[in-house]
Amino acid sequence: MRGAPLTRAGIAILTLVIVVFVLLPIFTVFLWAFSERWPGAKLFPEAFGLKWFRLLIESGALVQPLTYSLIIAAIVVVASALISIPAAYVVGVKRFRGREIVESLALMPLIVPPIATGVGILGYYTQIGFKSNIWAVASVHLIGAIPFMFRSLAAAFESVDPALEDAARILGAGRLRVLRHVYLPLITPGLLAGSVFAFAWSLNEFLLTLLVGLPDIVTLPVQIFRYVGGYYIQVAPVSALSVILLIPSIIFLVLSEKYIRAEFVPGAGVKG
Amino acid sequence: MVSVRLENVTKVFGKTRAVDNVSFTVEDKEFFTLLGPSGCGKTTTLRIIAGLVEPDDGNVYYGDRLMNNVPPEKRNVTMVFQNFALFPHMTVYDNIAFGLRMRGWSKSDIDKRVREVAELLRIRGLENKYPHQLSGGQQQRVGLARALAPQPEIILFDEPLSNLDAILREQIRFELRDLVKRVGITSIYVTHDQAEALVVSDRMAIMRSGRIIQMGTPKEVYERPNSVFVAKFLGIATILEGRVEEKSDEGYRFTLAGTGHTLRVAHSFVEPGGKGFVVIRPEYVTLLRIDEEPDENILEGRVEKATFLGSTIDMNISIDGIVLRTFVKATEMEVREGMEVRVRLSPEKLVVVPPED
Repeated sequence: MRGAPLTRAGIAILTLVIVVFVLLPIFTVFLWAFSERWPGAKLFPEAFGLKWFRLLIESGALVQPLTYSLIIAAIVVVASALISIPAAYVVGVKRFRGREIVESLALMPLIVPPIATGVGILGYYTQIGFKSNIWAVASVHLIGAIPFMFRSLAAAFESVDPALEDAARILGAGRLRVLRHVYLPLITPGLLAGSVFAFAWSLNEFLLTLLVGLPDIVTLPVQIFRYVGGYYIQVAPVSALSVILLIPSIIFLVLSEKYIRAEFVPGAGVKG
Repeated sequence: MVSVRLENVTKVFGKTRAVDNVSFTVEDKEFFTLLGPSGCGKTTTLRIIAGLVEPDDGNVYYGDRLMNNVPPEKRNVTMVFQNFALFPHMTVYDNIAFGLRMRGWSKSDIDKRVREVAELLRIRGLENKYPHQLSGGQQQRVGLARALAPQPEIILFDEPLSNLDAILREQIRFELRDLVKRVGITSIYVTHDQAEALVVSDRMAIMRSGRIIQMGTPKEVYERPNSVFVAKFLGIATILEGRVEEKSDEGYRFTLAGTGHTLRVAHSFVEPGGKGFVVIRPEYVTLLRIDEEPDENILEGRVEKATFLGSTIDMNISIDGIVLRTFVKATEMEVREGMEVRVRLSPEKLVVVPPED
């Protein structure tokens, strides 16, 4: 096949990039997190263990931030889905003029620097006294989570044959029941994908969380930055926190992959 | 069961009048077809009847009930779709049961009814399959079963056969008409396939650019088209220009432009003195043997092209510069290209239609 060497070269470069910038750092993080004893001169730790996790739990640096992170992420997933579903339905299903404009406007929050919106929001959140609680933090996470959720959902809605809505209505389903019985099952893959992104976004969000959440709400990323200061870095506890931060994302991804395969294409390949 | 009446229904999309002042009545239990080329407004008309599209103007009645403001889910009408529109995440059973569930039937009634229609459409045994596991023909049957299950007053068909292959299409045509006739439901059918329309309909309306051009039984419309458009759209026809000369008890005299031949035609949509086109179906043309006595509407010409089609021969006969198309039975006579022939055009079958505007 012509072009095969080029393809191979492309794959090789891609693999290299993934290894250097994704797998190697994660590997190092895991090494640090599970190191029990690691003298500076050695390439690898001498002993592995849960020392740093124990330390984090005992010092209270893990449980509270993790709880906050998970609760806020859950709120963000649910809220962004509820807000995005009607909008994604309209953009994905209805053909109207200016649809493309709406679609790109919905992605605006990802382009605007969060520090700009953050400072502004902080200003009026302070004025109305809506600060330093999980709802305030969740609300600013929505700025980034909604575009992801919206995009996934809009694509999912767009992939549904519009005749199905007609068929359902003709058969006696009102608009809400069409949504529940026809669209919801069919957009589930998109909903899951959007949820993964929204969840990951919320879990990793740092800047806005710091601005709106402090002093009471410390999430995992904020906690991590407490260990990384101008003149010091505590690599091991930070690594342990990072591992914790990675786990939900990995679980979510694996689960959604499984769910999409098993539920959405029932009996695939058993063509009768 | 119920009749359907449209009164001056109009729908405008942007600058196009998709449906332009359309009125017709479909009788109770009648099989009515809207036939026309794509973009003629037939599907929009159907969707207006279903309530999926709101008309800009005009009224839709089911019996005496004005339906304009009734949403589709509250009308007792169902529809069979071009791409079947089966719910991909539901089994065949759940697809058929959907309408019943939405109408709040009890579980045991649903069970019974689904079995009933599955039997009717000969799809028993497929209940637990998903649509993507079915063949096109099976999907079509499931779509029909789903539409019949809730016992609608009216059933709408939106080109239901156009996604099937030709052989299946021809089979299912008859079956489909049989079925809805047996069940006794008012049926409105949309298609662009004239052969299909002729087979299934009790009456049909031919649409073009949002308007109904002609309405009648298939036989009426085929035999007496009122325009060049209908004549060309329905079946095969040779259409020749000329002038209507005079009217008598036996019909009209029509002079062919160019050749000066005069024909007697029984029907004309053009007043004497006006220009028009005579519609000559191949089956109205008979070849005469040499020894037959001439009477009227006889033309002499030469076989320009003869194509053997098995049971028939498709011929083009050239007569003083005009070309007439006809079929003869292959067993009836020996035909060679270049042969001199005389043909007779049955006057009682000929129709003159006005020129296109």
